[in-house]
Amino acid sequence: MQDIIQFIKNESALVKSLFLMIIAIPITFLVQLIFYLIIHAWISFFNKSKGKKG
Amino acid sequence: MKELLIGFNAFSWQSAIMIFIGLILIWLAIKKEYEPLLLLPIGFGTILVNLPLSVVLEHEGTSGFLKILFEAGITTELFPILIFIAVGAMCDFTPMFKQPIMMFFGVAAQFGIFATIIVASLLGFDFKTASSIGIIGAADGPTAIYVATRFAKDYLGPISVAAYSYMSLVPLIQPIVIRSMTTKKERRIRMAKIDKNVPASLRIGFPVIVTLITGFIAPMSVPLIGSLMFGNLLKESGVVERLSKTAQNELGSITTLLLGITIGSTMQAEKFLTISTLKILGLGLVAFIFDTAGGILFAKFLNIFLKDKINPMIGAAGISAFPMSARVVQKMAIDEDPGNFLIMQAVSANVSGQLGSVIAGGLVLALVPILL
Repeated sequence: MQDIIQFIKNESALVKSLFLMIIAIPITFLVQLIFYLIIHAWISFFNKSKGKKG
Repeated sequence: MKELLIGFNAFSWQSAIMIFIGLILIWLAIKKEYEPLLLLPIGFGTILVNLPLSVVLEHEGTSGFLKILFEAGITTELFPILIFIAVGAMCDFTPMFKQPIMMFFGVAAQFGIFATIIVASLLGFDFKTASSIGIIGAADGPTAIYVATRFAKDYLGPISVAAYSYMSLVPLIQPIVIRSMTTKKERRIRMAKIDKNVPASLRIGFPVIVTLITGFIAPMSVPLIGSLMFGNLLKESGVVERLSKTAQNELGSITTLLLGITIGSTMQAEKFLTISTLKILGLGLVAFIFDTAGGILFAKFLNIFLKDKINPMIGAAGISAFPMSARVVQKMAIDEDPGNFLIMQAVSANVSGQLGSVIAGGLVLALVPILL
C-alpha cells in the first residue's frame, strides 16, 4: 500500500482524484455498513427483549 | 477637496460589479428565500468589503472587524465547527433508524463529490483545490466551508456561495435530473412503509458510537464529525435541554450570522472576479447533478437484485440538502401517482445523506494530505 501511495504522490492531480474516488467511496460504504449493522442489531435486540417482556 | 473625494477615487468598476453581486445575493435571500440565513449576510459582507478602501478589512495598518472575524473564526476553523454543533443539535436521525437500509443511499449520493474532484482536476485545479470544490457536492454548507478553509482559503467565497446557492436550487436541479434518468413507470413504484420502534438508547448511543468509529477510521475527521455528534448527543440525551436549545438557537444563529458576513468578506473583486470563480460555480452544478445521478443509478442497480423494487427517486434524496431533497421526491411521486407516499423513505435517505456527506468530507480531509 505504501508503494502505491508513493507512486500516486508523484502523479498528476487527475490520477490522485481517481485514486481518491476508488478509495473513498468504498470506505464510506464500509463505514455506513458498520453503522447499519449496529443499528440493525440494536433494534433487533431491543425488539426481542421487549417481546420477551410482553 | 481631494480627500473629500477619496471614496470615489478609490472605487473601481470591479468593485461595482461585486457590489452588484452582493445586491443580487441579498435579493435572492429576501425575494426568493434562497438560503436567506447565509446568503443575506454573505451579500452584505460582499458589499462592505468592496466599498472604497475596504476599511472593514484593514485601514492604516489596523485590522478591520471583518479581518478580525476572519482570523478568529475562519483561519482557526472555529465557525464551521460551532455550526456543526448547532446542526447536530437540530439533526434527528430517527427516520434513518426506522429504515437503516436507506443509509446506503446517503453514500451513493456522495458520488458527485468525487466525480467533481476529477472534473475539477481536468479543468486545471490543483488537487487540494479540486478536493475543496468537489465538496460542494456534499450539499452541506458547513462541510464545504470547513474543507475549503483547510485546503483552499482563497476560494472560500465562491465555494461557499456555490454550495449554498445550489442547495437552495435543489427543487429546480433535481427534478430535471430525475426525469431524465427515470421512466414514468419507475417513478410510480410504490414502496412498503416500514415503521420500527426506535429505542431511546440507540438515539443516545449512536452519536457516541459514530464518533468512536470515525475517530479510529479517519482521525482527521474528528473535529467535523465529533462536533456534529456532540450537538446531536446534547439533543438526544434529554438531560441538557437548555444546552441543546442554546446550540440549536443562540449558538446556531450567532455563528451563522458571523460566518456569513465573514465569508462575504472573502469576496473581494480581485479574488472573486476570475475565471476560476466561474469554473467553481459551474462545477458546483456538476456536483449536484452527479450526486443525484449517483443515487438514482444505485437504486436502479439494487433493483436488478430486489424483488420489492425501490423507487429510484429515493436515491436522489440521498444528498445532504435536508429537507428539500426529500420534499422534491415526495412532490414528484405525488405528481406521478397521487396515492404514492414516499416521504418516509425519502426523509430517511435524506437524513442518511447528512451523515454520509460528513463522513465523505472527513475522508477527503484524511486522505488528501496523504496523497500530496
